[in-house]
Amino acid sequence: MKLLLIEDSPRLCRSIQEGMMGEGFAVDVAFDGEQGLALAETYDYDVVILDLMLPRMDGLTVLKRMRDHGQTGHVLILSAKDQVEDRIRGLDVGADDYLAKPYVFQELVARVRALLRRKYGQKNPWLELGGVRLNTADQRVFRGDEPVDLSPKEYACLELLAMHRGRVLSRDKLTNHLYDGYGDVASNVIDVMVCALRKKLHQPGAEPVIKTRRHAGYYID
Amino acid sequence: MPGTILTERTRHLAGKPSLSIRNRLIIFLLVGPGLVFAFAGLVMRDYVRTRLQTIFDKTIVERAEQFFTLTRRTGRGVVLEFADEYTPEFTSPNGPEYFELWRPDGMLVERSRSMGTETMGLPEGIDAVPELDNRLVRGRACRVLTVAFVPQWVDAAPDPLGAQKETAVDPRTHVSAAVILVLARDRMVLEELLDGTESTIVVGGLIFLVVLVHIGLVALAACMAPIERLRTRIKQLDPDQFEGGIQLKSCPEELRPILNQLNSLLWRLHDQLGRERRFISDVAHELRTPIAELKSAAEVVLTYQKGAGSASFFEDVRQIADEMELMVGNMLTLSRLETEAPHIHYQAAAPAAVVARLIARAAPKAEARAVTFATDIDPSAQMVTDTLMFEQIVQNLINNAVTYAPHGSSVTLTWAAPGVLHIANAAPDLEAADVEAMFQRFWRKDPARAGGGNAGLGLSLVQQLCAVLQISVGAALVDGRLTLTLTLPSEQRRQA
Repeated sequence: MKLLLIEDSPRLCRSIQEGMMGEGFAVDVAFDGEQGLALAETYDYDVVILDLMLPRMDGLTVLKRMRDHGQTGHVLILSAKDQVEDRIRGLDVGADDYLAKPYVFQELVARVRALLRRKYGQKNPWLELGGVRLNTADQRVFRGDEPVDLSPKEYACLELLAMHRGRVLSRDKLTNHLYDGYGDVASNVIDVMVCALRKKLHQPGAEPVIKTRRHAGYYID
Repeated sequence: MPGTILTERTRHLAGKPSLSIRNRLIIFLLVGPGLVFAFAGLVMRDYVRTRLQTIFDKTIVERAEQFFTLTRRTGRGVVLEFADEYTPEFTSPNGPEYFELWRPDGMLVERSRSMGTETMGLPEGIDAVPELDNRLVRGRACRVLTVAFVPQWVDAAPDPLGAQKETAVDPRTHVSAAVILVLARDRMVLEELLDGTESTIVVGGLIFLVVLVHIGLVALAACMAPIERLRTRIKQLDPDQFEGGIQLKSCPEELRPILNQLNSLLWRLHDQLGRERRFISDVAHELRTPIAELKSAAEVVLTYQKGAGSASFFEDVRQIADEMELMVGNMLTLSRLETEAPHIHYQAAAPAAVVARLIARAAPKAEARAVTFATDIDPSAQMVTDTLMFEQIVQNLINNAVTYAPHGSSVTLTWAAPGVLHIANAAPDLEAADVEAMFQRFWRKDPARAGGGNAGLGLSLVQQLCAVLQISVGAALVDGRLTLTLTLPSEQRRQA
C-alpha cells in the first residue's frame, strides 16, 4: 500500500517513513502544502497522512482542494492541534480520521490500516484466500494452520492483491503502490516478488493463490 | 467557584463597608427634608401659638382699657359706668368674660354678673403694668389680667390728688385712689383655635411627608435604575463576552465616563485573554511537535530496530533536546523578565568587539546559508551597558537575520551614531503588517511550526531585554529590506 505523508518536520517525516516502510508500506513525502497537493492530485495513494501547520499552503486548504477536485482518497490528519474544535473542523472539511500529536506510532499504523480496510470495504481484518488466511491488523499469514514468514514488501504485495480480489493489477500499479516514488524501480521486481510469494504460499495439490493474466498483470481469484 | 473568589477579592479591594448610595440619597432627600419640615412645623406651631396668645392678650388689654375709661372717681367714691346690656359677655355664668374691681383695702367695688357669688380674690400688690396669667375662674380655664389704675376724677370739685385731667396717675403712689381691675376671659376658644391649628400643621405635615416619601422613593428608583442596570449587566458578564463590552440602552451623563472606562478595560482584558489563550496554545503546540518527533523516532527504532538508523535517531534526539532547551530557556527568561526585577550590571564595552564576537558565533549557520556580514562600526566607539543582556539582544537579531535573509545575501551592522545600532537584511517575504507583529511571541512569517530551532520567541525576548535596559528597539521595512534599530539611552552612550 502506498502512503503520502505531507509533513514539514524532516525528523518526523524520517521516523514515520521508516516506521511505515517497516510495516510494508511505500511512503512518499511532501514537505509543504503545495507539493503535497500536487502529489495527491497526480498519483493514487491509499492513504494521505496530512499535517495541518504547513508552509506555503496549510493542511486544511490542501484537504479542501483535494475534495473540491473530486479526490476521494482517505485522509488522516496528524496535528499538534488537539482541541475538539480543531478535530471537528478537520473532519468536517473532509478528513477521514484525526490523530493528535504526540501519538503512539502503533496507533498511527492501526488507524492507517483501518482506513485501508474501509477503502476496500473490508470490515474483517481476516482475509480468506482459499487455504491461505491473512490478518491485515497484525500482518500474520497462515497457510492452513501454519504461519508463513513474509517480508514486509511480500506481505504488502499479497495484501494489495487480496484487497483487489477479482481484479487484475498491472505490474506498474503494483510497483507504484508498493514502492515510494514513481518509475524508479526495476521492471522485474514485481515478478520476482510474486514468484517468492507463490513459493511460500504453495499448498500441494492446490491452485496458486496468485494467478497471472498474460500481458495484464496478477490477480487473486 | 471563580465568581465567589472574585467577590471575596473585590470585597477586600472595596475597603470598609460604607453607606450605600441609595441610603445616602434616602438620608439626604427624605430624612433630611422630613426633619427640616418637622422642625419647621414645630417652629410654626410655636409661632402661631405665641401669636394667637399675643392677640388674645391684646384683646384683654383693650378690654381693660375700656374699663379705664368707664371707671370714674367722684367725691362719692369710684363709679363704674357699666351696662350689662352692652356687654353680654359678662352676664352668663359660662362667661366668656369675668371682671372684678377692687379697692386696695379689700373692698370689692364691682363685679360682673357672670361671676355670680364667686370671687377671684383681691390681687396682691399694686401694679400699673397689666399682669396676665392663666387660672381657673368658675371652673373654667381663663386668661386673667390684673392691673391697678387711678380712675379719672369726673367731679366738678377739684381733684383731691391735684392731678390734671386726662393725665394718668401712678396707682402705686396714690393707693387710696387706686382700684385694681381683675379681668378674665375664657381660654376655650383660644385653646380650640390652637388645637385646630396644631392639628392642621401635623396632619398637613404628615400628608406632605407621605407624599414626599413616595415621590422620593420613585425618584430614587428612577435615579438608581441606571446603576442597577449596570450592576446587573456586569454581574451577567462572562469572560467570553468581554469583546462586546457592556451596552446600556440609555446611559445618564454621569455614568458615561465610568461605562467608557469599564468597556475600555474589558476590551483590554479581552485582548489580553486572547493573547494568553494564543500563548498557551502556541506553547502547547511548540512543545508537542518536538515531543512527537522524539516519541515517533524512539518507537520506530525500538519497533523496527534499525541499527543504521539509530545514529541518526540519536542525532535527532540531540537536536530536539537542544531546541526544546532553547525554547524553554527563552520562555523562562521572558517569564523572569516580566515578573522579577533583573539585576543589571553596567560596564563599558566597545560595540565593534561585541558585534565581532557575536558574528563569530553565528558564522557556522551563516556559512551554511552563504550569508555574509558587513559591519560599519567605529572601532573606537564606546558604550556603557549590561553587556550580557546587550549580547543576548544583538545575538538574537543576528541569528534572526541569518535565518531569514535570502540565501547568499548580506547582513549589515552599522553603528550609525553614538548609541544607535542598525541590523539590516533583505526580507523580500515580509509585509508592512509583519513589522508590528514580529515582536509577538511565537510569531513567525512562515505559519508552519515545525521546530527547527526557531520557536518565534527571539524578538519577544529582544523587546523584553530592551525594556529592561531602556533601549528602544524599532523595525522598519523599506524596499524589501528590514532594518532593526537599537537606540541606547543617553546615559549609556559614549562619544568615540
